[in-house]
Amino acid sequence: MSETIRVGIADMNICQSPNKITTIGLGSCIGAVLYDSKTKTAGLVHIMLPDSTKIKQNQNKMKFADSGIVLLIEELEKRGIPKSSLKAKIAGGAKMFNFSSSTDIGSIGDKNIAAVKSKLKEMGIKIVSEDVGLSYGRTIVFDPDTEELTVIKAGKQKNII
Amino acid sequence: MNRQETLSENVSNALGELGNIGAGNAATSLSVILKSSLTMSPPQVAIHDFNSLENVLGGPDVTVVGVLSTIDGDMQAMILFVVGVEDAKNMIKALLDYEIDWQSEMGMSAVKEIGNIIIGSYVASLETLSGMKIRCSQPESCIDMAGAILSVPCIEFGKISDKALLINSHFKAGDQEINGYIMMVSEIHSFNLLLNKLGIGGIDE
Repeated sequence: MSETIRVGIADMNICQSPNKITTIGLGSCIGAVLYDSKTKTAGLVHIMLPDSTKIKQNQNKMKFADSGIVLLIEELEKRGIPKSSLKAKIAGGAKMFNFSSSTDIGSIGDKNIAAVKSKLKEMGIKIVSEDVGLSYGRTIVFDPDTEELTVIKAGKQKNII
Repeated sequence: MNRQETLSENVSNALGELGNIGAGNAATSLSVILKSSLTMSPPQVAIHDFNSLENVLGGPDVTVVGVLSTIDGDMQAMILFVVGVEDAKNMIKALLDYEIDWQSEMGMSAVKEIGNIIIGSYVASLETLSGMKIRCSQPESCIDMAGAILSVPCIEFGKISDKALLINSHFKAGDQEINGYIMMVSEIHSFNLLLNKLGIGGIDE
């Protein structure tokens, strides 16, 4: 029996095939999936903010792009998966509501996307596919067996990346 | 991760009453626009972490229509007016007296205007009660998953804290079958400023 592991906001988890991993209702947040083809293992972190060094209240490492991605890599390494074998798929970073991009609320999605991409690049992890930006929320499900990331929009339209 | 801290009875009552008066005024405005009587349940006041906050609208993947204003000045908060998709359709019909494509520019503009009036009356009563100076932004609307909509206040207040305080009022408009929520979300520090103005002890930050 396979199950789907749910990851909350500013939270992360790891799953192995035949299980799947999901996070629901990503707005400006980003869901970053790091996976390994050989062991069919995938980790998902639900990131809210770009930079932990700019925020005083930064104990929850999973909340931020910089510290969240590092933490997920460490957890995967603990399971014997080397960083060099990891690949990434990312989704989210939308601009919710139509607040002008000059405001913090309007630009947070773009900042999150940029921060996630730059951290993954720094870590040497390739982004295989992405569904980011624009102005709609996303629910994502990753299947480590097929390596497909299913992105579901409100109204249930699906996009597999 | 569904930790939900409790508030002292005093604080909870004071914020509940604030929500009651704010939402009460907002509901009166709404009943005038919709030409219908309105019932309201007592507001729920609670401290939420991000993961329990996303469940307050019936689950993170439910599609809802949200109108959001940010308030700043003496305190920072977000006011959200949220209705379901069917409720939004009924609301537009009641407002315009004829049916239009609710997702059209005209439809969404109607929703935004209703939101504007509701949020405006909520904030006005907050200002009168507390004597605080509060500015309210132009509202913006959005149709999306509840989780995605609520991630906006989560992110904004996530910069300061892992918890948010929510005053949530639920209303129902007579025969129109319009269910909706008016909620004020902020971090605890802003609510403490508000409680101090009301002469009531604060919440541990």
